[in-house]
Amino acid sequence: MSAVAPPTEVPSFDVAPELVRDTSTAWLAASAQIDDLGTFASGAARVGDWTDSVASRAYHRRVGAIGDRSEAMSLALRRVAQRTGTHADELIALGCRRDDLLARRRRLVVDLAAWQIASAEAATPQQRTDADATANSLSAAIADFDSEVVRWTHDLRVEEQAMVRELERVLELAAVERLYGGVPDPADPALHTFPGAGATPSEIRSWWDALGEAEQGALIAASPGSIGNLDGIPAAVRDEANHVRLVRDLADLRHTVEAGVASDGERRRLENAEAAHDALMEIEGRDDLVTAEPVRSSLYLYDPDAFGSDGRIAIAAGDPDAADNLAVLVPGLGTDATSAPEQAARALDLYEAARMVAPDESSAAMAWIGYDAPSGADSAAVVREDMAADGGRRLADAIDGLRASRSGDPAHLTVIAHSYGSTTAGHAAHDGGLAVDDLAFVGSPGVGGHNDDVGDLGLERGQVWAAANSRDPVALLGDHGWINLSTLNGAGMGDDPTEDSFGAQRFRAEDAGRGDRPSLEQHSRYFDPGSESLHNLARIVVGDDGDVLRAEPKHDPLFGGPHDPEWDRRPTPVPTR
Amino acid sequence: MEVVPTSVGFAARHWDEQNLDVAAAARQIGESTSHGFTDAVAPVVDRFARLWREHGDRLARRCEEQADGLRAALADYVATDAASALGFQRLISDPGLLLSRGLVEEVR
Repeated sequence: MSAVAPPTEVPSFDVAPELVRDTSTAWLAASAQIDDLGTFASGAARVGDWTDSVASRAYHRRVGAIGDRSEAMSLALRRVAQRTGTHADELIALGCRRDDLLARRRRLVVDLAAWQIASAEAATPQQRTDADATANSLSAAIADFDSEVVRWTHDLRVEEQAMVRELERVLELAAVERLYGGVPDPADPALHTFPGAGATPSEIRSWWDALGEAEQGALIAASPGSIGNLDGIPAAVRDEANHVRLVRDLADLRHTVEAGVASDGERRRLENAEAAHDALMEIEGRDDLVTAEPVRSSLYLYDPDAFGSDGRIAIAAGDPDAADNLAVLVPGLGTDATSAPEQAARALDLYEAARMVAPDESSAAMAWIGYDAPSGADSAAVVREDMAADGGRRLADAIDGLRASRSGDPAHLTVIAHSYGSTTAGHAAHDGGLAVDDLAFVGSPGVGGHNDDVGDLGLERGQVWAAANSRDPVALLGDHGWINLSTLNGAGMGDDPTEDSFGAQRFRAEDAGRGDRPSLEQHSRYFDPGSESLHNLARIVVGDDGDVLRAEPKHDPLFGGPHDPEWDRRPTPVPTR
Repeated sequence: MEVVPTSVGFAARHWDEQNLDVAAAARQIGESTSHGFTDAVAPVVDRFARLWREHGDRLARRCEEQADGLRAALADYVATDAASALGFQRLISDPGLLLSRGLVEEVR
């Protein structure tokens, strides 16, 4: 009887690729900061009206030297940072291969044990012949496995050596100067071909696709602000660029605050950056219900200085580039960039609810704080539609951008608009058209004065949904019956979309904890896990219209106030996670 | 006597900002972690982070020196009687310059 050696042990592999990627992003952000110094030295640092003295000539010589040094350093650091990102990818791939090897080894050990028992118990010549044949095939399989372990170990060593070489080649400044001094930045020619201000998202996508990989990588590192918020650029690229900006802002602004020299604007900017960071952590801290992997996050929009420091931020749970179903949440009154963690939590709850009702489909949910919603000092503007009209244009552009940035099949795309966000979405649909499959209004104070029914939104009745918790006082603010406040000096925000005359499909959104009277608290219950509303929104997001729990619309008779059939219905809790 | 324009004062402020920004970048590099790398790579990552923090700090100091140098040029100019007289003449003949925050504030 032949002997069979057991399979080799798989080497240990103690790595954390996500931390390696964090290091890559931190170095990319630092390289962008140093690159900015180079840009400053070649432009604003030159004092054009101070040139005719010994002191000024010496100053400008030093400016040139600092500019050259910073440009070489930023290129060297960028290259190391990018290679570190590749290293993180390689570690992930090696980890997957190792997982396969571990599984394969477990099977071989079981087969080996079975063979040992069978060969020990072999009594007849035929049984011994069969055991020998099994031994031969098992030995071959183990030898193949052992070779694969050797190959894996070799590949790991090769990758480690490549990473070490990359780091060691630019440890000293002399090497940095020698290797990168005077080397042109590949970002520069890409920036020279940058599309003009009027370019459509499709044109921007075409421009991006035409760039080489080196140019794309250089732009993300050297000019993240130019592409991070550009509609038409793929969400994954925007996320990468915006992460570079965010990490740079956090390092820079925290340092400035610690040094005690931060202005009010810088403090506000830091507040917005911290909010974006917290929102990302909110999403990444939870595991996907189906895969048990951390939920993927995407920083789709990051502009902490926008709207007089209110800021613009959009953060998605899931992959907006590839998800079968994509929901965009448009928030309302009181929202600014500092609301990002709370809004991201809502997006995450919706993402989970969508995963629960359609586990075989991929979904993504984005919290879009992309317009100047009434908040803080301008909260009084909530009674007007001008901020909604401007926000509507931005929303329509954002949706066009999401459509254009995808390579594969178009997503089933739903806009879910809450509160004043529904006035904004109403304007987007009416004023310029909204390229969505479904549009859902929740807790709406009115969907814009020009929208008398779903036909004014440019959508079919089957595409428009509306929900109003019967105890939500904000949802009572819309126009009912023949009354049209929006014609009275622009007061009011248009029709209630849950009324029968509007023609939207009303769905259930009662809260199990509601009281006997309207309460403002009920206005914030539409995205609560376990609620009728969240369940129905998830069904709409995945296109499962038949299973949406419908509600009777409100009705306003000619005499007397509006009647809401939902007032007396007992709410039904629905699991959403 | 050399006339030092107010733009020198503004440039000094910009160099101060660059000093802060590059110092922040240097600190960011220095604080980057080697956790997550394999044992073969981690020590080199640590060395890289330490050396590049020094490179960044040195670059930040050069920015600070630029700012200090520009302020010194301004101070020399204001400290000279003849220059002060000339500067005063310019100030009173140019209300816009008088209102600008450049010259006097930078010397303080």
